[in-house]
Amino acid sequence: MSKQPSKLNLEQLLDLKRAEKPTDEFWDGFQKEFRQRQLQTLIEKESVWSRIPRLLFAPSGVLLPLSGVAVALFVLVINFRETTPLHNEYYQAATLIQAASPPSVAEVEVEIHTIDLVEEPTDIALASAISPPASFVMDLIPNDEPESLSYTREFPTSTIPAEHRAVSALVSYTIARDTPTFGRPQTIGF
Amino acid sequence: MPYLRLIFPVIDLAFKFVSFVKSITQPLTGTSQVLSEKDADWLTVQRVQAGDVAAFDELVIKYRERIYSVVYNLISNKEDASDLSQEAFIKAFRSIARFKGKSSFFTWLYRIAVNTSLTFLKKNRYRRFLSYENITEETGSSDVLEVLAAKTSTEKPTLIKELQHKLNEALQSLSVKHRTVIVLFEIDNLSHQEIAEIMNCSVGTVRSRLHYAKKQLQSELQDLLD
Repeated sequence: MSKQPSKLNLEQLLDLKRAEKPTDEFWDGFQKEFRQRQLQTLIEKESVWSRIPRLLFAPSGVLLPLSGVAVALFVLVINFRETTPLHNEYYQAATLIQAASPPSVAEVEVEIHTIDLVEEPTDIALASAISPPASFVMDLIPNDEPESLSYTREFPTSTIPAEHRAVSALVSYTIARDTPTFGRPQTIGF
Repeated sequence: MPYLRLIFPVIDLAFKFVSFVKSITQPLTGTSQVLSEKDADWLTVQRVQAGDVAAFDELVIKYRERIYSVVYNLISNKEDASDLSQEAFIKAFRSIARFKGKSSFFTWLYRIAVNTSLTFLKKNRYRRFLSYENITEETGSSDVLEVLAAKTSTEKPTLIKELQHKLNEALQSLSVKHRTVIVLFEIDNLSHQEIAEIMNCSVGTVRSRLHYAKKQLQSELQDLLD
């Protein structure tokens, strides 16, 4: 007959924690579930965003300069796209407006609002300005309000060449109420 | 003196022969040696790194009980322990390509499991549920139960439940760092050095944490120890 110790120590109590174990069936399920998660991991495609930092900071030393060149090209292309077309568009429009003769028929008017240097707005007849071949065409769609007569085309300041920036930032078109095209979508060309 | 001329080539040949014999026998004796656990794991890891996904199963089967034990004893919830153990293995699987074999795979895996558990504990600081595994009948534990049953004159199943609850509550009352050291040392039987590697601290820190953790546990479980 074995004699049991009457006092317990901490290590003996902690032995009980060691005896807390799952059953054998638990491990079958565990292994199965793990395999599923493992397969999921294998087929899981990495998202582009999670791959970018790793590619950029890869220790290979090849990808870093390549990534730098790609970023630089991206910035250049974006910058070019942002400035070039609208810049030309504005430039052509401004040249035509400046070269145009004073208004004879006030069917369609173009107002140039000045920002700094020109204080008074100038009315120019668009009909006479159209005489050279149209280089800038813009669809005019009437505003929702039936009484409204004006259409506006805004040029972002960043797209205006520095030498013209002071001249105009906003070109607006006014169509007289008695013209046949009043109230309909129409195309205006310079 | 013509003999002297012959001596040097003969010595040279003898050296060459010895080195040749050595080169043949060395690999044989090397492979015949029993591989240490660390080396065996490293070989398996290399197989996984080479694309043998099934080889990782061997590592899971080998360490699943120990990893589960450490996670379970840290969080005292069997459902979460199962989930977190799998998560630890998945994390290890995902980053196995970065494992260079500088430390043992077992220490690396333990570190992942401990960190996963600690992150879980941090996230769920304010909503904790304890759920326990069944105590299996082992010689050591049954002795303890006999003593306590005689002391308290309580029936064994009730005593087990009470005891389990008190033990887990006491463990959970420890700080996370102290709990980790107690679990790794007292329950998982790891050495001070191994714990230091897993917890990324010095052996001295491990010893001191262990001392304070034991002291606190003793005061928490005083009524059972008297």
